[in-house]
Amino acid sequence: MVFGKGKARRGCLDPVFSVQRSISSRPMRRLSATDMPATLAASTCVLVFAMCFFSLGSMTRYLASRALKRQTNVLARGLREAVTGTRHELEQLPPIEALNCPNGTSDVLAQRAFDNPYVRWIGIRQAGEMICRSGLVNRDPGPSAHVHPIDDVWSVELVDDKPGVVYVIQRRGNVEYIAIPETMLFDFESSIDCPQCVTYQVDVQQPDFQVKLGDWNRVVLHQTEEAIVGRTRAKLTVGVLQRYIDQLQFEGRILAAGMSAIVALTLSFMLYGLLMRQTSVASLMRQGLQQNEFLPYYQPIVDGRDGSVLGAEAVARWYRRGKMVPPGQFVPFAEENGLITPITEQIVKKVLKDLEHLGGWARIAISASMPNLIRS
Amino acid sequence: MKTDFCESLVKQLIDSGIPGRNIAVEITERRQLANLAEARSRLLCLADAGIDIKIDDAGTGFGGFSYVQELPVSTLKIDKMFVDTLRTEGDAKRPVLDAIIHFARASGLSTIAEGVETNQQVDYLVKAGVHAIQGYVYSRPMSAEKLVSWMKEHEMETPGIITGSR
Repeated sequence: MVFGKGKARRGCLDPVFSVQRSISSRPMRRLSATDMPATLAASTCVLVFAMCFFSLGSMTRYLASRALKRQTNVLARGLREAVTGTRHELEQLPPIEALNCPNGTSDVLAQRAFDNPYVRWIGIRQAGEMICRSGLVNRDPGPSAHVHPIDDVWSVELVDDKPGVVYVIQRRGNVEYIAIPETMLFDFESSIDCPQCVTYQVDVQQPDFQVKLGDWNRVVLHQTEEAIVGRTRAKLTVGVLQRYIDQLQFEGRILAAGMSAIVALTLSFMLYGLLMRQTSVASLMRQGLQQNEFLPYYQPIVDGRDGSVLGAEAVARWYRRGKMVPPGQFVPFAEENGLITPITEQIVKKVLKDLEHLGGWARIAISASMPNLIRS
Repeated sequence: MKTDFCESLVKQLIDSGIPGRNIAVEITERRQLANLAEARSRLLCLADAGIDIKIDDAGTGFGGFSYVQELPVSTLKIDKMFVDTLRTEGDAKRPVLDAIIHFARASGLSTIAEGVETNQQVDYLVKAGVHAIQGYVYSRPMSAEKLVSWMKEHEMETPGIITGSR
């Protein structure tokens, strides 16, 4: 019984030798998936980025332009009402001869300015001098005012150092009836739509900015379509130059690009991880099944007493692209993906084939998990 | 589409003219045998064809051993986890190893030790009555061609043994 025992374990069966041989002859490597998941994830990243960027970008643009248009409409209507109301008031004023103006102020003018909600102040100017007005304070725009004629009778004047005031002027021969419309009360509540839109700052000196009040149905205070008219508490005429809108949109696009990049990268990383974990290995295994890549390896079972060989266990190996994939890297996935049954079938076929060469002595054990046995 | 594992294996054996005794099937107890009756009938199908049935990873599952006596099982394969306890003196799992060996002997089951790496482990196992040894101490798993040449080499190193005598 003891015969051959020592020899059997110290000869060629020396474990160190066996390990070295196995390392040099069969280099194993980690299962590296093909480029498919990476490509898929990268294209998803690009696609998601494009979709996000496109939708966010156009949304920003849409919100900005909608906010601007809405404010333009509201303010233009307010301005139109104020100027129209003021103009009607001026048209109905009696001629200068009918007004009693002892101290340069007229009770009639004061009453009209008080009664009419559109009018804040009324004055009459003759030969450049204020001869009659609704209040004690002289609000004459003066000779330095910018005159914007509407027609032969009507004009609007703006003064540089009083940006909150518009003067509506009616010419009656050598006399000018001047009124200051009640300023339009409008608060920008646009911080939700467009956080940058609070401080629309008009610069009337800009060369591409013009005031046009010719058509009362369409009051445009800007030469471009994207113009906006408005006021803040300190300043009256507020507008937006096209390049400001461009800048808003540019900033919106940068923001959209950043958010899109974050969303796209996050999604594609998640997808990549998922693919690497599940789909890729499963699909590679399906490929491997088609390519007949699964095969048995045999570990001998030896009688420890005398070194005689009792049989061998067949273990699953995956020979993929010239490299051996260790079972730990595919067997758990195969069990998860229900591929263990076809893999076992493939291996069993090869075991039976090998048995023909190995001869009648061989006792080969095949591993079968219970699902293999039970599921039919 | 899918066929029964046992039926397909038996059919292949008949087609290739290989007797069932050349084949053993190892079932793992890692997953609980939920339907013992079902499992039993499937294993009986294999046993009827002369195929030997072994329990893999014995002792690592959750079922204990009570089910083994109800199944047509011939052999327990002792998991590497328990064989490894022979490396260190006074390992807490050593008694489990001894218990598995004892249980197998008492139940008339053969034993195979898996993952055996040192001669000391072989000595202990042989003394304890576990004669069938599988592990790096003899060889890593290898291809069928390698197995044939390994066999020749092994026979030359250990003259007088008759392979497959048991």
